[in-house]
Order: sequence, then structure tokens, then C-alpha cells
Amino acid sequence: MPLRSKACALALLVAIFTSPAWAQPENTAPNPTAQSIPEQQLLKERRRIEGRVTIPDRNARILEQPQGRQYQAFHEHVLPRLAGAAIILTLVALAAFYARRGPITLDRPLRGVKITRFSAFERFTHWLTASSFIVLAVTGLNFVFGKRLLMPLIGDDAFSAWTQWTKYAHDAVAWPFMFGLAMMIVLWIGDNLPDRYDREWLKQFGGFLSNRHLPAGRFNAGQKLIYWSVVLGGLALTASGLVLMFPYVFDIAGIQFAQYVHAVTAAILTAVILAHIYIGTLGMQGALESMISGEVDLAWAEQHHSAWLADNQPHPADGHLEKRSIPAE
Amino acid sequence: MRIILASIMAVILLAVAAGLIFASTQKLVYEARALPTVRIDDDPGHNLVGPDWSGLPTSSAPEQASHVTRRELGAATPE
Repeated sequence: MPLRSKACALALLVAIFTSPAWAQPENTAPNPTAQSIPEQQLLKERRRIEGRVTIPDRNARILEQPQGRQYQAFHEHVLPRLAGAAIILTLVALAAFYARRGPITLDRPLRGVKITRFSAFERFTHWLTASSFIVLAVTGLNFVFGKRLLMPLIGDDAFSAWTQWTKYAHDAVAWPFMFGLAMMIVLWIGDNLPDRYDREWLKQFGGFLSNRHLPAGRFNAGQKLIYWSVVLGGLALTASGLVLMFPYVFDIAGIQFAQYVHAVTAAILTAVILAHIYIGTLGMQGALESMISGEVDLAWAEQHHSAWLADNQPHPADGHLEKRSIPAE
Repeated sequence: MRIILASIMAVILLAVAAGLIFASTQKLVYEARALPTVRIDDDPGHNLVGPDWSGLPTSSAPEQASHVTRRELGAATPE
């Protein structure tokens, strides 16, 4: 081979092996968004970002719109602050109340006579709804705060798996909660209607700060407020939760509205239930016992629910209350 | 205390029953919203374009497999 031909072949080989195409990494696929207009710039010029679709669902063409951004702002900024403030302020208020007042104790000796305050079915209904609510609250709070508080602690993969299961649990446990709520409405609505003792009870905040004992029926005004919060809040959660559980019955605006209602109601109800848990455990001597065993001491009933006791007569044998017979005039 | 345990058992039973009914009557979004001409992938959460925009789950996967599903690819290519 002539020298000139050898030089040409060598030059060709050098050119091939040093060409950019040979030097490139194995994958040469372009990044389609590298040169695209930034999202924020698009949103400034056009309030909507939308494309074209050939599928029947025309809404699928909308990628971003003002309403969606408002919803995102609510979900990512307003809701965590609102829910966090509701829960933290409630806890601080309860701690301050406990520090100032301490537990509400009996100011008279126990009588040693137990009377029935809640039947077995009533206690079953209470704990069914309560245990459901605790699961729903924990899983619901995970949706709001989990990625901020829990994910940095347990990592992305563990948080992803946990959140997937909390979603399943939230949807499934919603049904026993709704069942319990319906039973609570039927069981206790009659005892939670306003009566003549409520105004004075509310005016004096139950006498908790002045150490006075105000007459009350089976439930005092504070318990009635808890009851109606649970009933009305539970119904709002049920209605909005069903919209979220069976989506696309309403359009996307309806689903987002349901989410607003669901999240705000849940945050408020969680704060209310924290107060209920406080007064039922740390806050009042004998309150938890009444919901576990169903019985209270006669002295407890005299102090906290004197009007209820006055309207009913404890049976001497088993402590069951019976309506007092009113003598004919 | 027996009442509390009974109520917790009832919650579990009702929740499991509700979950089973859901599982038998509802479809996942990627199944329910798919159309004959539109596939929403068979693996929710999977990045359709892949980490390096090649359409492949991993850069080491064979290039001609870009149209196959991740499940099919997973059988051939360890990740």
C-alpha cells in the first residue's frame, strides 16, 4: 500500500475514534424540557396551561389553571397552618387549664353506691366511633403533615409504603365511623336537646373555674356542645368523604370543594375531640370510669348531674336508674 | 374493658368488609381511566420517560425495549 493511502486510512481511523458521536455516552436521548419555556413564565403570560387531547374527557387538556393553583395553595399552605394552629392552640389551652385548675375532683366522699350511667350498647357505640375516629385522625393528619414531619425521619420509601396503607385504612375505617355516628345520633339525640340548665351552665363555664357545681341533666351543656360538634362535623365529614371516595360524581371543582370541607372540618373536630379526651381522662375524676364500666358513684352523679339524678330513681338492687314516679295531685 | 375490645374488633371487621367490597367493585385509576387508545401505564408511580428521558426504566436496559412495559422489562433486566 502506498504511503499516501496508509496516511489516508490512518487519518480516517483517527477521525472516527475521536469524533463526538463516538465519544458520546451510550444514551443520547434528548431532554424535551431542557429548552422549554419555564412554567412560571407561561403562567405569567397565560393564566392557564393547556394542551390538546383526543380522548372524550376534555378536562384532561387542562394542566394548570387558577382554580387548581388556589386549591394547591390551600392544600400546601393554608391547610397545614390552619390544622396545626387548631391542634397546637387546643393543646396549649388544655395544658394551661390543667395547670391552673387541675383535675376536677369530687368535693364529697364517695357514697359506695354505684348507679348505671351508660348501658353496654351505649359504651359499645361510643368506643366504636372513638376508635374509628382515632384511626381516621392519625391517617388524615398523615396526609397533611406526613411529608413534612414523618418523611424526613423515616425516609421516602418507608413513608410511601406507610402512606399507601394509611390511605387504605382511612377509606375502610370511614365505614365503622359512619355506622357509629348513625348509632350515636339515634341513641343520644334526645338527651342532647337544649334544656333549662344549659344557659346557666354556659354562663358560668360549668362552674369549673369558680368551683361551683351547677345542676345538669344527663348531659351538661359542654357535653352537648361536644355531641353536636361530633354529629354535625361527622355528617359533614361523611358527605364530603363520600364525594372523595367515589370521585367524578361531581366535576373537579366539586371534588376540590369536598376536600376543603373535609379537611377543615376534620381539623376542627380533631381539636374538639382533644378537649373531649382531656376532660374524659385527666380533666375529671370518674369520667373515664363511667364510659368503661358504665357505672358512677352516687356522689359523682349528685355533684355533676344532679338534675338527671333528681329525675331518676336508682334501683336499690342493681343501681339501674328508673324514672321517678310523680304522684298524682 | 371487654366492651372496648369488642368495639375495636367490630371496627376491624367492618373495615375489612368495606375494604373487600371496595376491592371487588372499584378499579384503580390507571385501569378505570384508560381507553383503548390511551394507556396510563401498568405500574402507577412509574416514570413513563425514565430517569434519563430515554423511555427506559434504567439506562442499562436495551434500547429496543422502550415500548415494552416495565413489568415485561423487569423479567429480562435486573434493576
